[in-house]
Parts: sequence; C-alpha cells; structure tokens
Amino acid sequence: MKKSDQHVVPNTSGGWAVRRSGAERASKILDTQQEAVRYARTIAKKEHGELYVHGKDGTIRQRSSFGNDPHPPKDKR
Amino acid sequence: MAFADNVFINCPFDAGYSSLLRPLLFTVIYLNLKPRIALESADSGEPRIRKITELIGKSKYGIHDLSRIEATKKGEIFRLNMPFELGIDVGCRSFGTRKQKTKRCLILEMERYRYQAALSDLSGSDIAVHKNEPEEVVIEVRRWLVNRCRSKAPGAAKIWGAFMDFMATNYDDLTKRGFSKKDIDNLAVPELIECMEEWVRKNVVLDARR
Repeated sequence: MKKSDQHVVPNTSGGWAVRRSGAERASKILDTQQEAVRYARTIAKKEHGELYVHGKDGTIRQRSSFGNDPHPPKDKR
Repeated sequence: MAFADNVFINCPFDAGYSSLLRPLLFTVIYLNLKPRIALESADSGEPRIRKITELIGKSKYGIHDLSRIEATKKGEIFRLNMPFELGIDVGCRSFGTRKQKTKRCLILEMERYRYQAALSDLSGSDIAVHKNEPEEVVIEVRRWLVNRCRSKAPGAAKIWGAFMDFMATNYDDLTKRGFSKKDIDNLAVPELIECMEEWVRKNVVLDARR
C-alpha cells in the first residue's frame, strides 16, 4: 500500500470521502460517488497510485490501477 | 494470549452480519487485543458449549451483539445463542475465580433501549448502539476499550482509515493468491482474523495501540 493510493468511501455524515492511504482524515468530501471517483482518479493518475472504491462496510467495489498494477491483464497475443 | 488481552466475541457469524463483524474484529486487533471466537478451534469433536465456556473463562473482556436476536420474517425462529452466551459470561463473572470476577462485557444493540424490552435484567450494563453502521461499531468498541484498558488508543477516525487500508491490501493480496471477489467477501472468520493480525503487525506501531 502506497501513500499515493486513493480511497473513495461513503461518508457517514453524507457525501463521499476521498482519503489517501495512511491518512487520518479525508482530503476531500464530495456530494456524489461519481464526483469523488473523478477527483480520486485524477490524483491517483498523477501520482501513479491505485484507486479503491469502497462500500459502506469497507469492501472493495471497484479498483483501478494507475501505477505498477500487481495484477495486470494477461497478454492475449 | 493472556487473560487480560482476550476478548470473547459473541455475535452471528453469517453473511448478514459480516459488514459489522469485520470492523469489530479489526478494532479489537488494532488495539493489540486478541479476539476469541467459537469458530477458532478446528476440533469438531469437542462439544460447542464446552468450547464456548472455555473461551469465556479465558477472556477478561466480552463483546456481545444482541442486534440480531429477533426474527426478521414470518416463520423465522428468533436466535437464542447470543443472549445464552451473554448469560454464561455474566455468570462466569459472578461465580468464577477471583480473576474472573474482573471480567467486563459490552453489549451492542441496533437501537437504544430496544434490549430493555427483551432483557430488562441487563439494566446498568455497558451498552452501546451501532445503528447497523460499520463505522459506528469502530467508534463504540474503541470507546469502550479505551475506558476499560486502552486509554491511549488512537482516535476512531484513524482506526477506520486503517481498516480501509487493510481491506484494500487484503483484496490485492488475496486476488494475487487466486481468490475471486466472492471468495474475498465470504472469507472464513478465522482466516480473516489471521489476515488482520498480519496486517496490523506489519503496519501499526505497537505503542500507538496501548
């Protein structure tokens, strides 16, 4: 887990939080999941990190890699 | 693990409760305590009740979630295991050894005062309400453990953030080992505890958890 990894998590007081791995607080709270994912994706791309979208219980709903993907898609050639 | 570090966890172990069980276990482990559950022993020949009483006797702390005891649909039977095991824990404290008289337990419920209708004898016990919210489980369990034995514990927001980091790392690690998303979501509880303990050992400074 790198500090450049970004997590999108539903915020209990409303909206969606974007949080960096290891951080104690959210870097941003946005109204919708879509906005939060867009914001987190921009940072993850810029910093070559991973993007994790969590459900309310912490489970992973979506994962995108913008760095060294540990599970890259298999070459179909 | 020593008596003072053991936390007996009394709750359902089915899929319907896993969203609350994961943060509960993680908070206990993060605070350098050992969750003890009835599923941890692989010896199927041992009667379950003997295993449970043994675990209760060995654990200074007990966390009992009564939020799932009532039947939710017509024809479903209400569940007595949780209040039964809570009764054993309370009894162990009352009739046990000098050490066991120091036992403490937390009762978790979904709504405030709901338990009083069914178990009025519990008035005056440590009761917390999680409203079925995973983050509330972290907040309430941490708050109770801070008052009982972990006065310098980090804040709930930090533990909740660490839980998200764990869930992401664990997802990647298990995917790498050939687990599907369904396998990960349904990971057996003893295996989940092992993963959490390993992550916490590698990522959390011990001093920050006491």
